Amino acid sequence: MKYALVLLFAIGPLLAQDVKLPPGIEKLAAKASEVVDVSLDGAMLRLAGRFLSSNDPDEAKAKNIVNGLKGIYVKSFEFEKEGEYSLSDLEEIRRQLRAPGWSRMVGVISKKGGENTEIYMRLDNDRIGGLVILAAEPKELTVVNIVGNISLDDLSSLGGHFGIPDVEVRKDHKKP
Amino acid sequence: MSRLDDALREAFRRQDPGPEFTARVLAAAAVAQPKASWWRTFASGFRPAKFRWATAAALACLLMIGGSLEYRRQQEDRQGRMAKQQLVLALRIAGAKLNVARERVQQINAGD
Repeated sequence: MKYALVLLFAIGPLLAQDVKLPPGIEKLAAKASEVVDVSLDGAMLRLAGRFLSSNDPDEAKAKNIVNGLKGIYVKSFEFEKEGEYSLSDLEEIRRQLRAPGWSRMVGVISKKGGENTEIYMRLDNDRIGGLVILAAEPKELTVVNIVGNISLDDLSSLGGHFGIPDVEVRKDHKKP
Repeated sequence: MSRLDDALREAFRRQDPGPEFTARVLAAAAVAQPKASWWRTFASGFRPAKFRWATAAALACLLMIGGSLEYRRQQEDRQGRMAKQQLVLALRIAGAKLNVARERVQQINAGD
């Protein structure tokens, strides 16, 4: 029983985070010129939510987004030169995202600029229960893992807030 | 002797005050005594040295509890503000990357 509890506490954060970062990515911090590491579990999100003002429109929006979330994990590395990370590190994350429940929503691969962006989401009872963004550029690598219920409207509302420029997405496209 | 002497002697003659005199004096003294204030009554309970130490210890305990609660509140406040900053940063990065993908999709759609 005691061992089961210890095991539960040990794997608890992993289950919450759902997608585990491979050790290769964790080691990239040593090579990177700039590292952003955000790790907010449910308790920290609730604490942060208490400090978001309902009077400020941006913060109110963020508060609304945070209410359905169980965790936000962001790792972003900026490098001085190209080729500091290997694609096999990303492949390890992709392998996890091939598990049942996950599906790739967007995959943009730019051979010219070498900028690849992939968006994966996990559905829980017809609702988005998780979102992973893999953004790989020659000198930058970003992995965003959002755990919890987040609606597409909330996702859209991320743009244009906190100084993020809003990009309008055309829903229909007519050929001339 | 004159009549004045007789009158004075009569006036200063010893008289027995009676058996209730002591009781009457004590009752009168009790009525005349000013009423002790509530603070004096309260403080009188702490006159013995051990009560003074107990009061000092209780006050010290109260101060320590108050201090630790305030320290905890400040620590929570600091953690909350840091968590908020991290959250804003995370949303900013997530939003930016999402917008890049949307922009690319838009460009691809426009190129069709």
